[in-house]
Amino acid sequence: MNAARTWWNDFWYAHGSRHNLAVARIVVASQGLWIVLSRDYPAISGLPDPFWSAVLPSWQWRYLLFPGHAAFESVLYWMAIVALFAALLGVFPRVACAVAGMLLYHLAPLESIIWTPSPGIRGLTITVPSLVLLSLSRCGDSLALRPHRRSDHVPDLSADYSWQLRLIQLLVCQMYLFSAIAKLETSGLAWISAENMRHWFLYLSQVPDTAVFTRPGAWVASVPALNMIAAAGTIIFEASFVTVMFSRTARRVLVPAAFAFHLGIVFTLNLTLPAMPLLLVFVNWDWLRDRIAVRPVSGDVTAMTGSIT
Amino acid sequence: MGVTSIVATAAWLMFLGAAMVVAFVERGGRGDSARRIASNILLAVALGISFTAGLTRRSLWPFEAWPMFQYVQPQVTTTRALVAVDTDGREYPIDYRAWQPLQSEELISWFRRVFPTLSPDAQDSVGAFLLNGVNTARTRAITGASVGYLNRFLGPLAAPSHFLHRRYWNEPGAIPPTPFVVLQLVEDTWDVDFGPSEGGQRRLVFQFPRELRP
Repeated sequence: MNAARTWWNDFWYAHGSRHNLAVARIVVASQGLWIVLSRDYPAISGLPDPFWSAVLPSWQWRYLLFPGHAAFESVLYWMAIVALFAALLGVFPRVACAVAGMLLYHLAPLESIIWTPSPGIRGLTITVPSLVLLSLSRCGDSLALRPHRRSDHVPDLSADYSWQLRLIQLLVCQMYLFSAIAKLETSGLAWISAENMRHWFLYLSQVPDTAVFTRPGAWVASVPALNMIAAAGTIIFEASFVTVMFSRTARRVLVPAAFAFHLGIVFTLNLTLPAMPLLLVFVNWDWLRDRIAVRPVSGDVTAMTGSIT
Repeated sequence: MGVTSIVATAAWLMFLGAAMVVAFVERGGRGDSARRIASNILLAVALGISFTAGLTRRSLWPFEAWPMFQYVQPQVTTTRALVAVDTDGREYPIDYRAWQPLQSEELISWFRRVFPTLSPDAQDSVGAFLLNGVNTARTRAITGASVGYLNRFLGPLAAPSHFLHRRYWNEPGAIPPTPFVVLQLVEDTWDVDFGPSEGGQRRLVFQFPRELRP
């Protein structure tokens, strides 16, 4: 029992870094802004009634989304943008993260609600709980224009800077882990076959409306060994990505591999992952800063870079 | 679907409730052990919800099951697309930006799952709405304006949707000079070894206007 408790505490509470948490705030807010500024959620609310005909009352009450309120949704949309900018810049960051998280929980489902209540892969799935978690941390103690700081509270590495970022990282890992489980549960070992991957490459590089890149996918499909490597490699990569939570070596290998994995998918399968920037929450910015060895020239700069003494 | 939504709502409220406990304990200036208990409760709730979603493969959004391309892709496949016909009777693919604010994959999925359940009058009103939108986008493309507007803030750096899309109307000569008068939903069945244009079979699923064919 004590061993389990020690493991639990080490896992969640022994990784505190003021600087890494602040960068996570910037990464999550930036990624959220990137998606929100590239969509028009309020206009979906204003679509003609037939588009909303299959939206169940339970979906509407779940997100408090009702058709025909484009003007009201516009107000919330701009509030979300302001909150995300505030979170990004570190202006009352905890409040900003909380407000942005709640507003995005309301707005993000608009992208797909006309036929499904789950906007899963559309970019804001991990962002929403991450913003709520950041609001529970001292994410504005570094890299912030106007941190919200209580003078009587002494920061605690484990309570203020650690578990929130660890949970955000785990949510990113789950994306890969659950994807591997879904493949194996739905299709079994048949998914891990050269023939299956060959069909995927050929299919997605030929669908007329979405095949922006046609040659890379067709070329990979023509090499049987590459099809087998892609099939087995995808499952192994997705299932093993969660090891980045336990191993520094795994993190150094698998996080860059994830970026390469997604870039390869863009060119061979014409698919993007709008959540991809969130992989940056795994980077140890303290380590990187030490490597780059930016030497502070004044106390103010030290405060901004957030070194922990 | 309704039950899953109720469970998902309850899960989200549990997560928020546990988060509020953490915030209140911190604001109340409680000791380290109280803060540790509160954060442990939130961690347990978040782990419970997220692993329930993933292992049961039921989305409890924002705790997702992440079912990405879990099916085996068959040799013979079926794809759906919306195409437009102009006054000269020529058929054109439609630039995905013409559907904005909707993403084209959302629209196609909606056509697959919801559209058949609509009354004929409602289907026609959707056809009229979309045809008008496509013609408006065509006019913008001809005048050199941006076909869509979701890049209004970020330009070429705007976030793409999950699927990439061909920008048909960026190509010279791809924009029809005359208005579209018919909108069609077509279903193509094709062999991945030969592609959709070689030996594929096309079926007309819906046409607006129903009777008119140039």
